[in-house]
Amino acid sequence: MTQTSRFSLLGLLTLTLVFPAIINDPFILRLAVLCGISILLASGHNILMNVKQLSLGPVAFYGLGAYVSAILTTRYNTPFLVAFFLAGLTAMAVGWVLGRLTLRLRAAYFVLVTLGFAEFFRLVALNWVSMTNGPMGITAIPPPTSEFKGYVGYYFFVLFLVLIVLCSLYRLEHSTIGRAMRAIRENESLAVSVGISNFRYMMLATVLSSFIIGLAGSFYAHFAQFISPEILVFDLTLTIVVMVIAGGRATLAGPVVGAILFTVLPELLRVTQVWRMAILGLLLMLIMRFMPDGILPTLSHWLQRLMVDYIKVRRKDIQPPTPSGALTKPMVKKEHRSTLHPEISESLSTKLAVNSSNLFLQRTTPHNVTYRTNSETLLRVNGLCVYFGGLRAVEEVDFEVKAGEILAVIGPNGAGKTTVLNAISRFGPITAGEIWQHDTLLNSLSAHEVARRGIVRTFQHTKLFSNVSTRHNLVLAHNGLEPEAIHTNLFRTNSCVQSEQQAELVADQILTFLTMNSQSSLLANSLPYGHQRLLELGIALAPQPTILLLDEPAAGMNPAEVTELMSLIKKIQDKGITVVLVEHDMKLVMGISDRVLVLDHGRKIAEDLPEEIRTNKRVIEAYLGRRGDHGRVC
Amino acid sequence: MVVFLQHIVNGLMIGGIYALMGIGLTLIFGVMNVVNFAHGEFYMLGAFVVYTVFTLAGVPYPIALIAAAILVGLLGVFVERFLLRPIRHQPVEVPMLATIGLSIFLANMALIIWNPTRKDIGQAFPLVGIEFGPLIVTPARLSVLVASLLIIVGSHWLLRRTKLGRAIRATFQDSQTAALMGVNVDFIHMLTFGLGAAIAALAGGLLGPIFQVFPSMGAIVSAKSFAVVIAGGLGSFPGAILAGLLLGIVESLGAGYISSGYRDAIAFILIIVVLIFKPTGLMGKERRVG
Repeated sequence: MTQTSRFSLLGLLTLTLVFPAIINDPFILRLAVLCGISILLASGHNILMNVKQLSLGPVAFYGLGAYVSAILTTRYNTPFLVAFFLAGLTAMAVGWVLGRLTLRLRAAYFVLVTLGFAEFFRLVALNWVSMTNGPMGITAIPPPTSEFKGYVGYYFFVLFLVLIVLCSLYRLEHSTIGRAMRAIRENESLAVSVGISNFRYMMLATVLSSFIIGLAGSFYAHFAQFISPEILVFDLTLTIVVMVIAGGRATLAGPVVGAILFTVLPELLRVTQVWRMAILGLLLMLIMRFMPDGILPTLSHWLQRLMVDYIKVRRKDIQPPTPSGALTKPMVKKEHRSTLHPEISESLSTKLAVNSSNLFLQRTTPHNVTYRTNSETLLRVNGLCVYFGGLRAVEEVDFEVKAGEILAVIGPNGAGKTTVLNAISRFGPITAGEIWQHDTLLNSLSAHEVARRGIVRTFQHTKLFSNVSTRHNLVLAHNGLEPEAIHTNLFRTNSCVQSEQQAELVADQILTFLTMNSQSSLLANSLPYGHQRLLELGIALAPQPTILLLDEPAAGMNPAEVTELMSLIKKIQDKGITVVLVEHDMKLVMGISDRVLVLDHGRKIAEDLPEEIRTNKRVIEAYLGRRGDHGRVC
Repeated sequence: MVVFLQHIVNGLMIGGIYALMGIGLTLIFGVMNVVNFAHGEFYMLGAFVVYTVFTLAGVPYPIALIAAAILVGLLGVFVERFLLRPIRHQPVEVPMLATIGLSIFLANMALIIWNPTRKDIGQAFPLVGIEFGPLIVTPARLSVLVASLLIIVGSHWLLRRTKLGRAIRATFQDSQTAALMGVNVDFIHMLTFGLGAAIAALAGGLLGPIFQVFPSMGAIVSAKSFAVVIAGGLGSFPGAILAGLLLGIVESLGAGYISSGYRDAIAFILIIVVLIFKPTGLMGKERRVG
């Protein structure tokens, strides 16, 4: 955070504190309280947007919080604070259950499924008359304490809530959790492949989001002192979603701006009478048409451009802006942090420098795999079968991966190479057979758990965290090894800061290893193709693997780049990492592999040294067909 | 038993309308990857065009119905060209929010133009009962059933048997590859959105004479057609049709035998039940990941 933004934040805070003293108009104060509630709702709902899930069910938690709190205080005379927190916790519990049911779905599917939640709760509220009083609603809900008269008390209460929520969200955004969510948002399968549990963080987002929204619901009940099933209407869901997306999704300030705008604007538009809602609809269309990223990101983008132009006029020798131009905020923040704690960074680096020059090979996780002899088996695949319906993609394949070797898996198209890789990394299904890493059966693990056990894969089609700088790509990829408990991150404990420093160091070392230091601040998707593939390799190295599974790393590379890649893979092997390589490029396969495994039609047809494979009759047949057998049916 | 059959027939009529809405949504979602929240408003506009042309201007009902389809279809084409096309490559929530804005805009413009009172379209068909054994069906209701079946069959024919339909299906599968094969994807998107809007307008115009017409009538139909599309399996036409008919029948039976208060809840219970037992929907297929 820069000096100016710090001062302006402080100014804003003072303004909100003295606001009720300056303006004592009850209408405006009431509006301010409603703005506060909207900010809570929008910020809470935005947490899910951080993991790229758009829910249309936030009102369900809002209504739930409101009803729980109202019923507890009116029927059971529960004190306000107890009811308040119970409301939040109930919403959280329901969020947990709904999350478990629905978070396997993605994008539009998730959107449509969550659509029913609020409606379902509304119907329950409407029809469970004995508890909720049905359509009549619950009246005479007591204020938090008897001192709450007028709007000033509510104003400060909601201000307090908003500040706590925003500060916590800020902390989370710049923590391991925030980075893991960023990784999921940028590229979910890549995030999983480096050991980030997508499901866990999505659940976390859902639970946090429903907790905050539940609290907001409880506050609303005690503020309005009357609730009815009307608060569960779909229109409110829409308003919340509009606040988040029009304001700027997955940013901290965006939803706040959106919330204030879409609470105040409808009131201002009252002067237009019947045209009010039509204008609002039109406005929404225009915002999405011309500011698809949301108001705040677009405005700050424009402002940035203006500034750059202005500086250019002032000083001609200014550096050109980064190709992004847009929000490279997290990256800038990162650089700041390492300068903020120079003492930690220094001590850590000296400490680690003693250990070795290649930090990124030192796994810090407890399941350290120790090599005894070079022939030790790291991975054993027994009778692996993978069927897709009637298609037998992989049939009864057995092989072993020895520590320190480069094992190439080759075979004609459709031989099942990638399917084997998918099965080992647990990205794909296993129909039968077993995959053992030492004494651990990998079959029942999920993909991110396999990655955490040191088996990291790359993808055939380049996958990167595209809108993030090269260096930050590597930092995000190291994330799976960082502490992930929410309180550690919220309070920024020592271990958290240290692991952050370590992630930065690892990123720098990998950059050096890939000789990509000069590109460290470029956005990943602005890199040339060859470098993108290199970066992909670097991303796979960041979680400190013991076994690297490479899926056609040379695809689309020119001969010079392939040669470079070969020496790089050799270098990776020299660092003690075992490599399993699926590849078509024979120069690469024969040039670097220690052993070659050949698959054809899902079956293993050979497993030998590269020289032997060259002359193996069955392999030649598989690739070229039998002599005089042109019309072989595949 | 007769009452039961009567419920089934009523259910099929409403279900046919849900199926029509479901087809339009599926088409738009499949081809354009847009979750169209303004679909219910196209339905509402269809009903209002019929009301204006048939009830107020006195033009014969079938012509009014066709006018509704053409006008609302053109509106759909316009919306695609100037609102959705520029934001096509944005994440799914951006066009979705744009259609939410559109739906708010259209519903409130209808409120201003036609005022909020509920309107009767009047009798498009003679008020007599046609007897099928013990069952009595009015011509109005029968025509809804027949017309929706005709439209379903017609759109099936369009998609399966014409060159245009093949282009639409190609875009549905993979719009990039379709573009490489010479399909004018821009045109297909425009046409798809217009077609979806026109079918929704027909549904509104068909059901209008049986129920009443009012500006907010689109909302609940919209929600239910989403339910239909999800329950049927996103992107599946047979699924949408099946789920639409099923929902109509279950609703009708539920309202008849359980309680009409829960009538509107049934759609959502249906989604939940279907998704718990078959997460990909009734006819949905699992997609290959990666």
